[in-house]
Amino acid sequence: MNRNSILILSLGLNLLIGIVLIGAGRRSAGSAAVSALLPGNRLIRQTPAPASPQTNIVTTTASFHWSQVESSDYQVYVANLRAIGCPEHTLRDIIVADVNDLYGGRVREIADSVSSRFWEFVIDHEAFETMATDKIHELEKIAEERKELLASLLETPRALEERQARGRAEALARFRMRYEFLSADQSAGMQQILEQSAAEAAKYGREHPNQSDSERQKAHRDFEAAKEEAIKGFLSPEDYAEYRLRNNPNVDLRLQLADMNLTDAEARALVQAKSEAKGAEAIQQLLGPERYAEFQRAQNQDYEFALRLAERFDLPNETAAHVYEIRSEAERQARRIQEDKSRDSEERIAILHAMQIETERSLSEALGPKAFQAYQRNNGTWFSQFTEGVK
Amino acid sequence: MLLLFSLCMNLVLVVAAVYRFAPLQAQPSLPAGQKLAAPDLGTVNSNAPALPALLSVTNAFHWRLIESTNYDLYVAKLRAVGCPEKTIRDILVADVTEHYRNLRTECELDQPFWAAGRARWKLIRESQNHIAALEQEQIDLLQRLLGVEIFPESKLADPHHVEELAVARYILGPMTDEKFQKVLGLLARYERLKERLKESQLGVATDEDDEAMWKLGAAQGRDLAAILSPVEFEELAARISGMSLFDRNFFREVGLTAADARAIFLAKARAHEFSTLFDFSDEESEALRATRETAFTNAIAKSLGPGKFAAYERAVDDEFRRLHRLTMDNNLPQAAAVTVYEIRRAARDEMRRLRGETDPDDPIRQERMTEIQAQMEAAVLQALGKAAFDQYLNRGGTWLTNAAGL
Repeated sequence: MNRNSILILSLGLNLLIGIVLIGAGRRSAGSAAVSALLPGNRLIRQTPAPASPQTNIVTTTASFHWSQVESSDYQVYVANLRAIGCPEHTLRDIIVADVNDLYGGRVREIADSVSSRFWEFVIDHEAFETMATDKIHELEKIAEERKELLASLLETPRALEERQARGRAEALARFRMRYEFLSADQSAGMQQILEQSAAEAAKYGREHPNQSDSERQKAHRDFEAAKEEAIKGFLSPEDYAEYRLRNNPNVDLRLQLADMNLTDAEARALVQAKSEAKGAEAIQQLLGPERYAEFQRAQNQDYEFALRLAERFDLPNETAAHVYEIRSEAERQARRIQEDKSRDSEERIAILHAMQIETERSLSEALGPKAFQAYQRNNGTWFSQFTEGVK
Repeated sequence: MLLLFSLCMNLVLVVAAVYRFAPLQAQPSLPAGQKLAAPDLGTVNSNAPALPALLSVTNAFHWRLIESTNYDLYVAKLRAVGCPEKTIRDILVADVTEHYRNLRTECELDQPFWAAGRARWKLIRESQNHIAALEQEQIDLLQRLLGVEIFPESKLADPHHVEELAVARYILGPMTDEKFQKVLGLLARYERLKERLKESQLGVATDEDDEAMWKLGAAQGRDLAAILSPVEFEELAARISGMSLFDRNFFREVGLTAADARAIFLAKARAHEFSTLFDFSDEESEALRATRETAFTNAIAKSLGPGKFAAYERAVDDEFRRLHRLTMDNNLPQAAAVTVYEIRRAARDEMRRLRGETDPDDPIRQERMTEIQAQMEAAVLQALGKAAFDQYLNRGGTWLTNAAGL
């Protein structure tokens, strides 16, 4: 090979490498032109242009760097993340945060454009309303765009499937916590019945959009009855009874019994008794007179407050009970005096006034100065109103 | 010579090309003893949808190589593959938030179904304490992993809701993203502290709680002042103070400008030591309230000057607002409302003087009161005209028939 041939070859090689390097430089510059840098050097990606050419360029490299999945095109970024096996929920976290930043910038522009006129709008309500209406309209458009972009990026059948699976798993876990007496298989079966029933009801609603209220209510009752039948058929009679009791409208009674000392079985029996036709009698019979009084006190809001007061000031629960007794007794006596027509109103007022002073003293003694001050502040006007009931 | 130059250029360009196309190296190193697992070849996701353009796919990497149930390791691995800090934060915050949300839900639900009464009470308290501990654990974990304080599901300016974000931006005013996030973080921190304080009260508030709440508000003011410039802080304080304004139009209608409104609300925020800015202290003693009101009134009187201060006083007085509406409805000038308002004030002052200085049975006093009543009726009638005067008697003007009650 002579000197000229080597020179031509060398120049050609220079030209070739030069073209490759310039081309690569232009691609980088092109990416930078459509991107803006955020704190942390994240790229704000532009919404993908429609009708991109279907060119798949696969670059295989030995080691991985995040920059290999980064792209100024969201579709590509998402596809790259999926290609490296990024789980759908993580992908969603990344993309949602990124898209929020993108739209956060636009929201900022909108807010900043009017924020400097804040005081003008403070004194001019009409101008404020006009501005707010305009801006809300712009923001709604942004919200809609954001929603559409996220849907186009994330709502793939696979993502939907994964999300549904997670939702189902969470629902099952919740179900199992509420109905722990059922086995795992029973819970899964119940979930299936409930899901199927909900899906059928939803489908029916979609297929009958113009139904009247009464038709809708009837359909709802029918679906509920069918669901109940399916559950009844699926569970054993004992499990079904327990399931029904846990869905009884009176079941929250167990949450409203303040500091009453009850076993789980007693609480269950109370809910059952309350659901009977003569609930109060059934409960009385179940508990006996002393505990029935305790049961009534436990549901009283003043007693519940006295318990919280006792807890706050490290007083024993007995103090709360004592405070409750003082109030019950004072109010009972005050009512008697207020209605006692054998005395004239002046005499009744004098007695009630003395009662007010005595009640205040008793409460103060029971609670101590600090707790009594708090009692008065939060719940303490009742004993200064005895004289108001005199006619 | 040319050949030598060309060969040198070959060398330079080859070096440049190698540098340009060489794969990037991971930046931070993993913790001692930790290594990235060997690349799992052939793990390209085959389920990926058809793409308009696929710039880069590696067949030497799969997400499971970096995913870990150990958050420290997860972060280290993400850093090791050059994942930007912002993305690491996005991943971690969402992941940790969901993890702890599930733990809290589990804690709430995981109670024996039939536990009731004392047992339930105890379980609820334990659950509340556990949930609070989990929240703190979440904050601490994110602080350790990311170096920033991030609060569990803060209600402030949720980035998922563009309108909320816009309102926060609008109120806070133009500021950098970094500062905006810092302010939101701070507000979230204090919101949480406020909630904790309220929870600890068990629905039984004390004077000490008020003081603690007040201190919390003042501390938030100080912390905000440390993030913002003095000008930004004052502006924010005035804006938040102004948000509570009931009937904003009256400012304009009595001739107050936007700048006057700003001065008024800045004075209000200052008088309240910025503590009430975020509704921290619902309760304050009468004496304290009076002191603050006096400080506020003096400050705005000084700031606005006598004429505008009088306009401000009218704007915040229900009596004047009623009169203003009456004159508007009757197409009378605003001056008529001002005149009647001033007549009423003068009559009230004179009646008070008489009550304070004279005996109730003094016939001269009675005579003077009757005289005042007649004078003011005539003056109001003249200012409003017959039609508006008659309407006024049914729209707040009953004082005209009972001046002694003023």
